[in-house]
Amino acid sequence: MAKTNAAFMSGIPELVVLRLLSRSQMYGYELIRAIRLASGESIVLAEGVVYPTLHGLEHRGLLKAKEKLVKGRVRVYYQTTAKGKKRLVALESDWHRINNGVEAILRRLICQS
Amino acid sequence: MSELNWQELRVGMLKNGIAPKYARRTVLELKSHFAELKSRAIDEGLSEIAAQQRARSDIGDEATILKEVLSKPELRSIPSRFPRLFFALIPTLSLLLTFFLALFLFLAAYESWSATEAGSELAAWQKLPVQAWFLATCYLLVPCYALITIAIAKARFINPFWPAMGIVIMVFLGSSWAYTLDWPTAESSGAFSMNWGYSFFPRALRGDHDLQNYLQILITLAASVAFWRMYDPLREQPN
Repeated sequence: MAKTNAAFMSGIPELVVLRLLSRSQMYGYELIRAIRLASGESIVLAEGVVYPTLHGLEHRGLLKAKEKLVKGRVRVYYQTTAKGKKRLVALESDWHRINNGVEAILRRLICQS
Repeated sequence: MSELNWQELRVGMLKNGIAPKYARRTVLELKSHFAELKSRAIDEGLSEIAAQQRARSDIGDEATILKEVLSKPELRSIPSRFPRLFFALIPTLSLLLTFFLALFLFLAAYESWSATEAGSELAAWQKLPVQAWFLATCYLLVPCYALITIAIAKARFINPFWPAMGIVIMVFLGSSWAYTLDWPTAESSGAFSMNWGYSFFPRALRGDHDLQNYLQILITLAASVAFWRMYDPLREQPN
C-alpha cells in the first residue's frame, strides 16, 4: 500500500495520535492499525516512524507511557495526559480553521473554472 | 531479506545524540512491532521469508526511521546538547561547593566538639563517620566522578574531548585538597586544618613535596584511561 504524501503530513501525526490515545491506551502496533482503520486507509505511515512521534509527545508531557509484558513481548502503552488533552483541543481548533480555509479556496477555484 | 539491523539503528541514534532511554525504547518497540507484523503475515498464509519481507517493508528502513528520530531534537540527551556545561563547568562548580560545604560542616561540628569539657574524649563511633566523610570527599569523590563521566560519555558515544577535559580539571582540583585533624582529648582541645594547592617543585627546592597529590593524579588518570578503553556499553545491552 502506498505511503501517505509526507508533505501533507506535517503536524497531522500529533493530532491523530493525541485524538486516538485520548480515548484509550494503545501500544504502537495497535495505534497504527487504529489510524489506518479510522482514516479508512487514507493515512498510511511507514510504521516505524510512529515511535519517534510518540516519544516526542511523551517527552513534552502530552502522553504517558507504561511498559507491559504481554505474551513474552514488551509492549509500551501510551495514553494522552491532561496536558495532552488541552493541546488536542488547540490542535483540533487550528485544524478546523485551516481545513475550512483550504476548502473555501478550493471551492472558489472550482467555481471560477 | 533479514530483520532490521537493530544494533546499527541504536548506535546511529546514540551517535547523533539521542538519549539512551529513547534509543533503547525505539529499538524495543520496533522489535516487538516487527514480530507482530511478521506473525500477522504468517497467519495470512505467507512463508517465513515472505512474512519477514512484508514486515520489513511495512515498518520502514533504518535510514527512514533514523531520520524521523533525529527530526525530534527534544529526544537528544542533555550531555550531548551541552557537553561543556555537563562535563566541565557543572562538575567543577559542584566539586568546589562540596569542599566548601564539607569545610563549613566540619568546622561547625569541630567547634562544638572542642568546646566539650576536658576529659570528655570523643568515642570511636563518633570519630568514624567524620573520618569516613572526609576521606570520601578528598579521595573517592573525584575517582567516582571520573568513572561516572566515562560511563555516561561512552554510553552516548559523545566526543571524548569535553569529558576528558572535565576529568583532568576535576582530578587536579580534587587532589589538591589536604587536611589534618587532631581530635580533642582530655589534655587538648584538638586542631583542624585544611589546605588547598600544589607545589610541583622538587623536594630539594621547597622542603617537602606533594607526593600524595601526584599519586592521586596519576592513579585517577590512569584508572580513567583504563576504564575508558575497557568499558563497552554495547556489551551490556547486546542486540
